[in-house]
Amino acid sequence: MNLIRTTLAITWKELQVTLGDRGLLAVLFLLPLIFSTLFSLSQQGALDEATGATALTVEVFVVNEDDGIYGAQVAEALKSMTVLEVEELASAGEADTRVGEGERTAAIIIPAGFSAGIDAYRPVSLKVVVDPVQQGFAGVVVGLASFAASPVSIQGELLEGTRTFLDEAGVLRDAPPELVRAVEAQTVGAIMAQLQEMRNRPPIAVASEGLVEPSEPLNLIDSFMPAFAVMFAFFLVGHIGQTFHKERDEGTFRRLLASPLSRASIVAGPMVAYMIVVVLQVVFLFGVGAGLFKLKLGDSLPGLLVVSLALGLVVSTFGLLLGVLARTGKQADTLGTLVAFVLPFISGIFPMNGVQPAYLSGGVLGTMGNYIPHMHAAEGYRLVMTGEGTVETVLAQVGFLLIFAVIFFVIASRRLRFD
Amino acid sequence: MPHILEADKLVKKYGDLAAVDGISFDVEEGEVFGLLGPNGAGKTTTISMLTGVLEPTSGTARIGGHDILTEPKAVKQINGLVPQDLALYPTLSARTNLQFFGRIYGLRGKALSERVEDVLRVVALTERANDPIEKYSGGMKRRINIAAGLVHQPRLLFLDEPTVGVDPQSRNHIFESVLQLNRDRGMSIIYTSHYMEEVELLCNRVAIVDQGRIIAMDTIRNLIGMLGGGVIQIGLERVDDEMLAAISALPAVTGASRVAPPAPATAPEEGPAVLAPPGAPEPTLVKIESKRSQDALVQVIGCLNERDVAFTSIEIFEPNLESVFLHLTGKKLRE
Repeated sequence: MNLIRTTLAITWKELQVTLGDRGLLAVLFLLPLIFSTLFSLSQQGALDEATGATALTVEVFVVNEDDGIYGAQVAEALKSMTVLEVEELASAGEADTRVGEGERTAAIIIPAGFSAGIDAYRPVSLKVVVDPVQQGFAGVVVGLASFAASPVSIQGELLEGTRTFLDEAGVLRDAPPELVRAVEAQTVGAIMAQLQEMRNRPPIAVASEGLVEPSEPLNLIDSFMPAFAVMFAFFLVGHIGQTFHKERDEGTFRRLLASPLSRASIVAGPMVAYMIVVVLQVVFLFGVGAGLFKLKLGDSLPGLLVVSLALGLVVSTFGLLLGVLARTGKQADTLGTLVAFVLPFISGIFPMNGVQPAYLSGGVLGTMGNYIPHMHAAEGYRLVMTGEGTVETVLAQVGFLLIFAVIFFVIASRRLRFD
Repeated sequence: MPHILEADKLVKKYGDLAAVDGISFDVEEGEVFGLLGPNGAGKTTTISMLTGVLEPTSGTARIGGHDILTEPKAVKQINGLVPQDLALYPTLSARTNLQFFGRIYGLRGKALSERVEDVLRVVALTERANDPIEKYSGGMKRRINIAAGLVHQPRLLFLDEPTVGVDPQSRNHIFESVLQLNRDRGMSIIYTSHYMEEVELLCNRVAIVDQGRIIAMDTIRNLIGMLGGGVIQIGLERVDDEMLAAISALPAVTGASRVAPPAPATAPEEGPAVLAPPGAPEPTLVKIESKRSQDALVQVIGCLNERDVAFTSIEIFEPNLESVFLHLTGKKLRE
């Protein structure tokens, strides 16, 4: 009889039994998702604060009662600021009322005649109304409004300066008014263009070097999701040990032994099934992580698959070992749960005070991690997901996992009894 | 008739304890053969060795012409096993269970589907085939347990106490299925039980097993014929050799002997379970074999009255396998 076909028959049966257990599915698939999401979100704020990744945003109303070009420029400048979340309103009265009701932190009002005033070189001002209970933001909003108005202010100054210069020089004294306005506009436009160029390409640049690359904000889900995936893969260990005893207690093992199945099929069939469950678990977690939380998967899906298969093999053999060593199914389940909770923490796969797993910092956890399969699986995932790893570069981690699997299997098979 | 099974001095030892101690028997093709004995007699261990679950310490057997030690795969293809436990996957449906047990015997595709539907018909559970086993009643589970042993069409079916914990209706259905499999399909069956009524109803021949040995093996008619009449078991206040001789000499009695009393129902420290006054001899069980139980009983009571000996219990065993077992071992099947 075909060894592979009978082995796969057992694999298929084991998958049906395992995937039909809703409680187990919740533990294997939903809990790691919930835990990694909660842990990431709860610690993301602290990380962002530490790295300065999050900008302050202030919600304001902007009312432009001016009908000229300068009022429109200031309104556009305010809307383009990332620190401001702007909602435009038609009247200053409405803005005043709604800020008073606490809808937004402040209102910035561009009064009627703002452009005409600049044209006439009369003093003009923006009006800022701040929610009385958020007075702490008053200085911030006034500063931002001044910053938005500064180009217009410069432009007004330039226009007045140009006029004064042309007037005092007397070069356009007899020229028609259209020509005078055209020369003023051309002069101011040329100077403003130069100023804009200087703003874009400052003659003196200040270079700064930060400890953290500012280009992309750090995402803690990248650290927590693989750690929880590894941790919860080992929750299968208790189930495997318990199933080992259940088969014996309920007599199905006797029925398998009475069939023409080889003993290799009886052992290998469930192990293949549990490897598949671990791979499905990782695919689900990383898939949801990538889809919903922008989890970075790296460039090597084969690399992820190889690490997952090796992890699945370790979990299967560990479960078999636990089943063989435990006296009862309940004992196997309890030991499995204990192992699943304790080993991830002492192997240092979770980030401590930062984004990197604790084992990378060395120390006790780093040393202990070398002797625990969790660390090698987590490191394999980390290498692939940070873009450093391919199938070839994770071979060391896969090799360590296979060594663990062989050790577990050899010990288990020496103690395994078929009668 | 050719033999489907020939067991030759099978022994299974666990340390110094011999669970099976040199059992030999033959089963003919198409026969329903019973292994009757109390719990712990060695019936299940014998079946486990014959089905390849356990390796014999010594001895061997041939099934369908194949040696169980040297050709286990061929033997396993001939055998079907219905274990005493409900050896099923409770969360899976009956159909899925049967498909799995068919696949491990190499069945695939249409042949597998046909076999599954066939055995579902045999146990009359086609309509509930897609329900998970865990939702079945105890009797239905037992029936699917039997179906799982039949799915690959074995020539020799081992039924190990298949009616334990089963309601009367399902028990009758199991009996009908066994008889039908034997009658209509010519299937050879080895049926173990400690219920003598089942063995009497189903089996052509019976081996009575006790303490790992076969103590008698024949047709049921011949085994019962060994006794000639019934057996009376009587508990006496006291007994001595003279009294035993007097009872043995009664015309309707063919023999009388002492039987070791069963363990007390209550431990001494739990309270007074003693019927006799302090200082009186321990009550003693006497087994009386007779040609006709009723005549013998009247004579025995008369004999006791003459000697002023009170009796504490009386049980009459009409000739059946139970009384045969009592005759052979001095104890009841279900003690």
